[in-house]
Amino acid sequence: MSTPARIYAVAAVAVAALVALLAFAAHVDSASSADSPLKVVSVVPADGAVVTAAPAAVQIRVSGRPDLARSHIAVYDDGSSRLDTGAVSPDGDDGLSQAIVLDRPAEIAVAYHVVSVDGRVVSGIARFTVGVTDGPAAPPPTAHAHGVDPFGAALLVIDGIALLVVVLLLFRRPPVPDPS
Amino acid sequence: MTITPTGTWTGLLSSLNGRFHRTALTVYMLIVVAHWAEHLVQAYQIWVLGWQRPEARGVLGMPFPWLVSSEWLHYGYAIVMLVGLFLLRPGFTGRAKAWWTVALALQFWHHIEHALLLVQAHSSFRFPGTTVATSVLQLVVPRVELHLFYNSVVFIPMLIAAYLHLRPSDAERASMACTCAPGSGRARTLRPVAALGD
Repeated sequence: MSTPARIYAVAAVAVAALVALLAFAAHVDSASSADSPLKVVSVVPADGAVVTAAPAAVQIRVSGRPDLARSHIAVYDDGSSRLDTGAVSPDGDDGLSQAIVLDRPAEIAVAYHVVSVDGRVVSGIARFTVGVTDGPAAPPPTAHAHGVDPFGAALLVIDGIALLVVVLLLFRRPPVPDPS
Repeated sequence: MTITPTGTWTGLLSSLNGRFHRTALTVYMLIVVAHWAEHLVQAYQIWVLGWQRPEARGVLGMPFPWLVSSEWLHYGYAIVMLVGLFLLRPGFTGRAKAWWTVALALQFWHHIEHALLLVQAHSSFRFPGTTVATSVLQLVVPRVELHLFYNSVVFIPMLIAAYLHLRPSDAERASMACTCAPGSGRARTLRPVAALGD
């Protein structure tokens, strides 16, 4: 494995195998999740949260791919006035975002009815409170996050182990002293 | 772009891959490890501290939340990685150069993916069948965060290259212009840029 051609070949095969493995794992995950009930993974702001500033939108992530046309999010204040504005929009592959208009403290109820593209349904109500103190604005919703999922966390660990191995090897195998 | 071997650019590149190669490589690897550490902090915030994922923004993302969601920042980091891999490549020799080239090729594709995401983030362009900004690989592997996959497949060959560069064979050491490994950097000066693309 010492010539450049062999190194390039090994690297190409390794990357292709990794991508194939990922695609297979994603396919298996998609097939198995189709048999399980649709679940809410997260609501932002979280159910029961007290936030200092009104968010520009509420986001719901579910354990599947939402069908935008068949999903709805309605947001009410404590006077039962509708706060949502515009249509629900996608938030990544597994989330929905609903813009709201609010400029005062309020008790908020988020009623959701999410239908996945494979026909599963989850519905419910989450509540949060917008407080009276000023604070940092919530981050804007993003279509492409650079967060850490379990797969990414595993890769971080592998990277860390690789780094540790290289550092240990450098210590264990001292550089050859210069004979001249 | 034609670069004359005697030009300023050649001189800078020659110095960067000669007497300053070890320093430049150290700075570059520190940037790479710092990026890895930021994501490690994010993972800690999610799974150890139990924070909601949108709130887990690493260290710099706490005072500057826009950093996490800025496509410009991520594209910028991809460019810095690419430029570093390109500029520091001539200093490598033998097996180390081959592994560094693997990292460069993969990072080049990673940067293309980020450019596509950047275009989608600032326009209505979408790939057929998608409603959100999507990378090419995400079309094959949906619902998986691929940012760290790309970083890993670039990071590992980079590490192998760095190790082989610091512990070269006799033949590799003889052809090194830098002082990264003991006994190297005296046999020759760096060849002109025109001859470096082997």
